[in-house]
Amino acid sequence: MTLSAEVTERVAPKKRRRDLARYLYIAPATLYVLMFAVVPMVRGVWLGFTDTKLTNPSGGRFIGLDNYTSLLGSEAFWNSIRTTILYTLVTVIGTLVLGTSAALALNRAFAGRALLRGLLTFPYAMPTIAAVLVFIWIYNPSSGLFNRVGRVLGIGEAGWLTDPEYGLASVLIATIWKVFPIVMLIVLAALQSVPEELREAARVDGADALSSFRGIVLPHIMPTLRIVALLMTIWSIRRFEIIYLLTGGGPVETTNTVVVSIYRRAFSDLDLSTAAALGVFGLLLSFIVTVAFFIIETRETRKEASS
Amino acid sequence: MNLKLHRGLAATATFCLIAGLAACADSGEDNQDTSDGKAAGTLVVANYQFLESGRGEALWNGLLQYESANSDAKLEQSASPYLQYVDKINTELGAGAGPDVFVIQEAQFATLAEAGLLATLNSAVEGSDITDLNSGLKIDGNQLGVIWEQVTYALIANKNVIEDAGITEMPTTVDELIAAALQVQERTDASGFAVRHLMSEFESWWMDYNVWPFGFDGAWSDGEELTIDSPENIAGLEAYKAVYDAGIMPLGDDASTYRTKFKENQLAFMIENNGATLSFTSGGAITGQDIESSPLPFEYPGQHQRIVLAVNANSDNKALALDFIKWFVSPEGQTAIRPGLGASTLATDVPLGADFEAANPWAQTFLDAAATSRSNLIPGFETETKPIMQVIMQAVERSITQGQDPAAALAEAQEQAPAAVG
Repeated sequence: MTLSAEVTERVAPKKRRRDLARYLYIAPATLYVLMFAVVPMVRGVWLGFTDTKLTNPSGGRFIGLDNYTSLLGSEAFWNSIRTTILYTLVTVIGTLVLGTSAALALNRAFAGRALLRGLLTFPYAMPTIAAVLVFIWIYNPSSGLFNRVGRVLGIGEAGWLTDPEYGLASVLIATIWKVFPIVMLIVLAALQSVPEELREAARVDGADALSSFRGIVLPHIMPTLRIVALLMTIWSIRRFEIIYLLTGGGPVETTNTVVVSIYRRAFSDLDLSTAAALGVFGLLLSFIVTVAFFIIETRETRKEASS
Repeated sequence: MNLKLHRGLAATATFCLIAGLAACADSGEDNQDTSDGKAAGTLVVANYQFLESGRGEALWNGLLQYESANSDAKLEQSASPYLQYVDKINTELGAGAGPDVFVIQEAQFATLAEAGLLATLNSAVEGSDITDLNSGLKIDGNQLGVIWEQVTYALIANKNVIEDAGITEMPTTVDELIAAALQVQERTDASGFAVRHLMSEFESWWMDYNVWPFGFDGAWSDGEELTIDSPENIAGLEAYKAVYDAGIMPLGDDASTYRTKFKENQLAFMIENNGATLSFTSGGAITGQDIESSPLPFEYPGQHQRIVLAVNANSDNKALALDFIKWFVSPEGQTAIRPGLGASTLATDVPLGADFEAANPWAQTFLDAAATSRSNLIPGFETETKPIMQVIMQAVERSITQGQDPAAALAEAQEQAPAAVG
C-alpha cells in the first residue's frame, strides 16, 4: 500500500463522520420545516382540489379545478385581490417612509433621544388587540378623538369604521402606526454602518442634508430597505388580526383582503377547500413578490460588483 | 459512537412505549363505570357563557350540582369568548377531538348534526319532561341535542334615562321609537337607541337583525326557494334603515360599548335578548328594577336564539356524558340551572323563582315572546344559514352605509345568495 492510499484510508472515515455530523446538525431544523411548513403547505394545496368541509376535514372528494374556476369567476374574489394589493402597497410605502424618516431623525444626538426611541417603539411592542381597541375608540363617530378634533376644527365628522369611503384608510392608519417602528429599528441599525467620515467630508464640501442623504446614506441603507420592503410586503399580504378586529372585512367589503376571505370561507362558511384555494392565491402573491425581489437583488449585486 | 446511537434509540423507544402505555392506562381510568353501574370520570363541559361576569359563575355553580348527584363524576370547564368558541368547537369536533359536552347555537347545531359529529341522546331524554320545543333538535328520529336555553327579544329601556326625558309610555311602533329616542337626546345627555350595525360583529349581528324582517312578517325562504327580496323583508330593512338614519344611534359603537352605556345610564332604548338583559343587572349602575321592557315595536313577533346542549359523538366519556344529560333534563338539573339562565325558556317547563321575578320585572315580556318567536335558521337551508346571512348582511350594510335602496340591495343579495351556498 502506498503512503497516499494509506492516508486516504485513514481520512475517509473521519470525513464521513464529519459529513454525518453536518446532516445531524441540520436534521432538526429540516424536520421542523418539513412538518410545520412543507407538509401543511402541500396539504393546503391538495385541499384546494377537493370539496372538504371544516366539520369533516378528512372526508373531501377530489373535484379538480372547480374551486379555482369558481373563485376566478367571482367578483368578490377579484375585489379581495385588489384590496390586498392596495392595502399592501400603501402599508409598505407608508411604513418605509415613516420608519426611515423616524430612524434618520433619531440617528442624530439630542437630549431625550433614548426616551423618544423607546416611545416610538411602543406601538410595535403593544399587543395587537390592545392597539385595535385603542383605534376603535379613536374612530368612534360620537366620542372618538378623530371626530372630536374634526368638530373643533370645523372640518366635520366621518364614520371611520362604518363608511365605505373611510374603511380602508382607517385600517391603513392603524396598521402603519402599529408596524412602522420595526422599520425604524432596522433602518436605525443600518444607519450605524454609514461611515461618519464620508458624511463629514460631504459636509465640508458643502453638501446639503438632502444631497448627503441621497449620495451617501441611501446607497448604504438601500440593501436593508430592500429586505425590509420584501418582509413588509409578505407580512402585509398575510396580515389578518388588525383588519378583522377593526372591520371584519367591512364596511361593504372595502377591507376584505384575501386573508380575511380565507378566514370567512373556512370558519364562517366551513368551506375548507375554497379557503385553501384562496390560500394558494395568497401564496402566489407572496411568491411573485419574492421572485421580483430576488431578481432586483441579483441585478443590484451584479451592478455593484461591476462598478 | 454507533453504540451510543443505538443505546439512545433504544432508550427513546422504551420511553415512547412507556409513555404510550401510561397514556392508555390514563384514558382508561378517565372513563369507567363504578361497581354500582354508574358512569364515572371527568367530563369536559364547554360553554362561552362561563366567561360572562356574574352569570358565568351562576351557570357553572348550577352545573356543579351534578357532582352531588353523581359522586363519581367530576366536571371540568372549558370556556373561550364566543367568536373563538364557534371556530374552536367546529375545528376540534371536525378533527375528532373536542369537549365531551358543549353548548352551540342552533345554526351550528344543524351543521354539526349534518356532519355526524353529535351523539344520540335518546336514552338520556327517555322518560324526561322535555317540551315540544326540543323536537326541533330531533333528526331522523334521533334526539341530537336538548335546549340549553332559548332566548327571545324585546324592547328594553333604562327607566332612569327615560324618566329624565319625560317618557312615560314604551314605544309600540318604529315611528314612536324614533320619536322617543329623539326626545331622550334632546332632554338628556344619553343616546336614544342602539342595536348592532357593524360587520366586525357579523357572528351576532345576523342573529339580532332578524327581528326587523320578522317584525314585518318576512322570511328568508318559503322552505324551498330563497325569498330574500320579498316585500316584507324590504319593509324590515326600510324600518332598520330609518332608525339608523334618524340620528338616534351611537354609530360605531359595538355591542359591548353600547351595552355598557345602558348599564351606566347613558343609553335609553335597546332591542335586546333576555340573556344580555340579565347581565345588565349586575356590575353596573342599574338593577333589574331599573329596566323596563315591552314587546318589539312591530306588528309580528320576532325571533329566538336557540342554544343547544349536545354531546360529542367522538367523546371517550359518552356514557358519563349521557348520564349528565339525563341529570340536566331532570327536575333537579333544570332547577339547578334556572338561576343562571334567568328569563330564558329551558328544556323543560321550569317556572321562574319568586325572588327572581320580584327582582327582575322585565323578565315576563321575554317569556311571553317565547310563545310566538321564530327560529333564526332559514327553512330548507338550515345548514347554509350563515353563508346566506353573510350575503344578506352585506346588502343591509350597503343600504345603511351607502344609501342603496333597500329593495335594490336585497334584490342583489337574492341574486348572489345561490352562489354563496354553492
